[in-house]
Amino acid sequence: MRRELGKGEPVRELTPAAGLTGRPVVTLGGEAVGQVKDVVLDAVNGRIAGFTLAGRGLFSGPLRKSVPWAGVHALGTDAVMIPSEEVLEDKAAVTTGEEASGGLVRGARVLTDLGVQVGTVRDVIVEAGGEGAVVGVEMSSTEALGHHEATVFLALGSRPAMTGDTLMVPVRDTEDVAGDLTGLAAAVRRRRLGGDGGPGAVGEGRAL
Amino acid sequence: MLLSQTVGRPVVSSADASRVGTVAGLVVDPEAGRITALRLEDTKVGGDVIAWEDVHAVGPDAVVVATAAAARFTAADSAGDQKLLGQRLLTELGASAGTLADITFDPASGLLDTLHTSRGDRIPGRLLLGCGSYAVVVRVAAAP
Repeated sequence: MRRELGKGEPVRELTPAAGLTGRPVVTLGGEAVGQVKDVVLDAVNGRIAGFTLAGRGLFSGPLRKSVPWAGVHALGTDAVMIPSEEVLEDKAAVTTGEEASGGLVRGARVLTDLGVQVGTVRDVIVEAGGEGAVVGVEMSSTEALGHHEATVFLALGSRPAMTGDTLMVPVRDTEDVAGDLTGLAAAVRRRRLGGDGGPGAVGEGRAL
Repeated sequence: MLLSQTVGRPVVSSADASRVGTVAGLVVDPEAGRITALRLEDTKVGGDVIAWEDVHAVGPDAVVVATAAAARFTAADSAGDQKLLGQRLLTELGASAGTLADITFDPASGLLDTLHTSRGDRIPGRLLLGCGSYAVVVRVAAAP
């Protein structure tokens, strides 16, 4: 099911991670086991690590179970599909060493490899379909991009350099920021057609 | 034969011509893509589910079952959650495909032939993956 994002791969629906909250988690047998509470990110690999679950319905609270990404059959536009309830694990299995997306990236500064802060992360953008890849960020820009606190979208390489409070991007990526998700999808497509954005992309803009 | 036209049909016993109930719905085995039982309502005997093997014929005016014995009827168990007509349809990729508008099936074999969606799409019955209390899930046809 899981494939590396290849060159020229079509771009599927892009969703802010916060937009996944509330999406039903459904077995292939057609039973809903809950809804997505938080998206947990695997910052090292630029992927979704898994989801914590809440019960379905307006007033239902968090569940003790979580869905590790390995147990996800597909991240769809209308539901997160899992093969069966057997893939559910204890909540700690997904959240260990990670934070929910709210804590991990939201508010992190976006720094170019020339040491210029170009924005602050508002949300990460993930791609629906089978991979769960983090393909970009929605950020609030700084003056360095021409507009202070404008909402812009920045495509990321397949292995973004990311810690809890800093996301580092190659400076040339900041020349291709988009104003909306449609523009981001086009930027992601351009990256794939160009075949760049792989590991080690950070550092190419070295100042001499 | 269309499921929507079968629902509401009287169910008659071939043993004594007594009316045992009315067709309320189907119980299907999604993996086999076939009907395993008929769900009845207005029954005068104990249970409300009758096994497909006991269905003698699905005719235009009545469904004839080969048994009148109440012992052959079993109460709906786990299959009781199965709702088909009007149920939301999801692909295995988690995309909505509308709702399940109707099902055509072969009354002789019980095989599900086609799922009709509320959007006018037709999905081969063999692509059925699951029928749960939340959704009917269908496989995505392999690319040629």
